[in-house]
Amino acid sequence: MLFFSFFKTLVDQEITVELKNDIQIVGTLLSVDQYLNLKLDNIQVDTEKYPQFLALKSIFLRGTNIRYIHLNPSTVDTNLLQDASRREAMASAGEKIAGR
Amino acid sequence: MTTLNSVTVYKVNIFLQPSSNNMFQEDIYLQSYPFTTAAAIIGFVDRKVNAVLIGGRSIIGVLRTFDQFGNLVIHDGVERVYFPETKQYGESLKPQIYVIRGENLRMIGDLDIDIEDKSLIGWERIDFIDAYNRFKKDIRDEKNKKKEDAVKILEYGAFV
Amino acid sequence: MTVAEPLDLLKQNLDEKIFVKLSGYREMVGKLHGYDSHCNIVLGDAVETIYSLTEEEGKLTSEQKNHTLVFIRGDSVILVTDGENL
Repeated sequence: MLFFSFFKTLVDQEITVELKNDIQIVGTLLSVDQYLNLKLDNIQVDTEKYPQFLALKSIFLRGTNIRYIHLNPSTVDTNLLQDASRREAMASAGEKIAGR
Repeated sequence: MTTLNSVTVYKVNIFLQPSSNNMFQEDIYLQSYPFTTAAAIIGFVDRKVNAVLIGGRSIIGVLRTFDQFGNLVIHDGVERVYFPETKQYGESLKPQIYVIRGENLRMIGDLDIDIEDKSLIGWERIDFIDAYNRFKKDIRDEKNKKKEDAVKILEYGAFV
Repeated sequence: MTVAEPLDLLKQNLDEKIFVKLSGYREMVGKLHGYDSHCNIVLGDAVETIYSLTEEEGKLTSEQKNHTLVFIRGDSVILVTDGENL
């Protein structure tokens, strides 16, 4: 759930998504769900190469097709993210012990 | 009846509000669940959409319903395949109802019907059957090339 | 600190340089800022290397790309290792 919360903080920011089929999409993040499916608005894509994007306004992207998401460093507090990662790791370790 | 009311309220809203405004149907309809798959797709319901499937085919039609897996039902859908290298496309003739399994969905977006017609200027429409066969052949060729390349790359060094 | 389970390696390397091998003949080196149990990873100042074959001769070439901050989806991660001694 860490990255779900993380991406929720990036709503309304511009991000660049690279899909597994090499398409690069620049757009404003509208929403994200638990599967990291994304909804993007005002998208910019190389439509010469990928005409499927012609006339599209906002898109819903399935999380499974995503390879990378390029972020703007000024929108991310990396220290906070590191702390959150540690805490999440600790929480999941705790769950395992509790579940035994 | 409350649901019906909220839909009606929304339908009034879309005509009053410009699309650039940050208000979306999901804001009204699913205010308490702002971050679910359902909330993300509900804004596309009853609109003309382009669903791009894994493999690259597009289904263009009116989205009627969906579920949390991204399974979709599209009415009056036509199938379209593009050939960007030659600036050609093929489109199926008979509109049909499509039930799409979410697994195979890559992306879905709503079409701006004002730009839609203009967007294909400069593109040549070719016979769908030919286009479809060519499209399938291209995919097959690409798959085979990938397999051959994988063997070669493996010979150069230990790469999975 | 010992590595009791695989993901502890990632925990130890938070804020350190790591090397990630990815599907599609890609590698990435960068500073680890975040991860989760799916191996989703956030790297800062990352350098990506993409290997491919040249069109004509089929020779192995590589291309490098820089990313200031990048999120990598866990399903394309093949391996992760310490990136200091590369």
